[in-house]
Amino acid sequence: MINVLQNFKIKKTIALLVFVWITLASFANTNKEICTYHNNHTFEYYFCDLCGCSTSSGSFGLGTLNNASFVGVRYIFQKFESKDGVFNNSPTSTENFHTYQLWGRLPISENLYVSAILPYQDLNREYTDRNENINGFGDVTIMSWYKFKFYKKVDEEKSKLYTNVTREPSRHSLEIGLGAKLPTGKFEQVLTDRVNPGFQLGTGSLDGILGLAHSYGADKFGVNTSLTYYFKNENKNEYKFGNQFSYASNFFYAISKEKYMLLPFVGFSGNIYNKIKQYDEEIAKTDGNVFNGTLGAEITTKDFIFGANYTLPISHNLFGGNVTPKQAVSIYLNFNLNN
Amino acid sequence: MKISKYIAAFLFVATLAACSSSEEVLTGEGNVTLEFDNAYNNSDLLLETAPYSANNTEKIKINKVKYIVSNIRLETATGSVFTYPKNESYFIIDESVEASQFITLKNVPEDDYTKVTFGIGVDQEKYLEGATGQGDFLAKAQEAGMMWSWQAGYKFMVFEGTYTSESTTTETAFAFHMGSHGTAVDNYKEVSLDLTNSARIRTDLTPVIHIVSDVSNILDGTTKFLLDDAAQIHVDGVKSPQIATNVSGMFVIDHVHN
Repeated sequence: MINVLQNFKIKKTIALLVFVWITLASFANTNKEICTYHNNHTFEYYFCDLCGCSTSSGSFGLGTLNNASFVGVRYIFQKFESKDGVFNNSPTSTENFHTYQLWGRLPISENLYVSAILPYQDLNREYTDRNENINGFGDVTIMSWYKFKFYKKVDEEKSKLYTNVTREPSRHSLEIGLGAKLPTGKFEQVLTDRVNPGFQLGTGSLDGILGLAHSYGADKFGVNTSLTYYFKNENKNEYKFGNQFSYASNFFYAISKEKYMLLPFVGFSGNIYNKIKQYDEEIAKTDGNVFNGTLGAEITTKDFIFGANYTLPISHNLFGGNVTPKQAVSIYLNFNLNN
Repeated sequence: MKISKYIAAFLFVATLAACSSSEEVLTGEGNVTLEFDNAYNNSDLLLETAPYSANNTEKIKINKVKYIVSNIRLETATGSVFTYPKNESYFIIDESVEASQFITLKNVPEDDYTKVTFGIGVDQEKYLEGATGQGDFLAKAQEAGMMWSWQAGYKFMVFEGTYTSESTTTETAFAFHMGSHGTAVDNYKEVSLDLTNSARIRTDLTPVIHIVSDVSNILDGTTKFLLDDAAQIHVDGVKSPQIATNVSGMFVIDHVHN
């Protein structure tokens, strides 16, 4: 099955299907009303995979309770410094990862929606004496999300007086996601010899993703938290990236204006990577972790969300300390397709 | 009609069976490269540049690092051993000659090897074959300055440079030459190292076993040598065997590229 998916024609087909689906999504649910309940939520949810952050998602947009369809574009820039060799005094190479993503989401029912991300990667590595570049489509991510609805406790006094009391939605919301990452990005065996194993367009494997997202929104502020676990599988090169756990939490403050809302946010995020296995053997110095601080802001209107954020590693120990993550910048624009 | 169903079922099962069996039949031969990467502590060794800290207040600049690697054997997890043909199994690693730091062994049986063993220097058996028994290695060793004389024998290791210390303020030359002393003292030692991950030798796959040789171990190993005590050690019945032990302890497998 995995081998079949790696067939180039099928990869093309999948990429095409995603585009078609996103296009179709733009015509779906056009008559639904948007933002009937503004609870000031933004859903900044990252899929930051090891491979050049290939599957980062866009913001999930306003109000988790509306069933809007979105399509968005996102640009992510990440910088790393990797050692070109095994010694303390080995020369360093600078890696600049540019990721461009097209993503969208489509409601299936009141509690269920699917999201898909198509990344294009442009990865550069500058050695002291030469450059290396790979570019192309990355791994497509498709996920389905189930929303749990919570309601405030019904006022007992009110319920005695009136027979028909509508339940008020709670300020909390919880979503659980299940998905897959398809091996649409090219995996190159030759790149496994380099110090940073993340310098790949894709993992080359069909991977499973489990996600959990919680948000709390008060009138003026809110907190969004997400946890993601990646189940990595072995690819046809008998190479298996380590399973990965990602977490992120952002606190935001809402400044409402007449036509738009400004949401500055501050937060933290992190990734924990297990060791890579090749030929069923663990490879030393391929595990690690990174903990980041994030600062950013979003502007949301009825029609779109525009956001930018800056991420700076606070502590890290990646791949035997041989890879140093530097800053990351992300800019995104999401369009509401329901208007 | 029924029979076609059975055939379909059989094909289905056969396909599954074919998928699940990943056993390879290994009958061919391939190559493997042993990379000897000289280091000083955790830094890549640089000759004639920044001084390195040695014992006490001693600072050294290294000019020459050479050693003989020999009698290479590879072992699999199941214990089967491949010994590289003895006559072709003598090499000189020279820090100033980059190509010498990569030993490529040819015609090695395909297998997953998990352990490598090699000697430092020339064993007595080989030495006792006499000058003609050495093949072209004798000429190579002479050219590289890895011989005292035929009678005194091979220098297994050459480590030279200059040093300063609190009491030796002007740059002073040091030289450690270690080897067997004819047949009187046998300083040939073997080094056995488990690989970090297996070296998968295949006809079309040449793994690289990346060995880091930390030459700081020559002065600071099992025995500590102060250059202020003796900056020149050549043939020494007591110190040479101690240097041989230090040298045999300086090798570490960093990783294996498959």
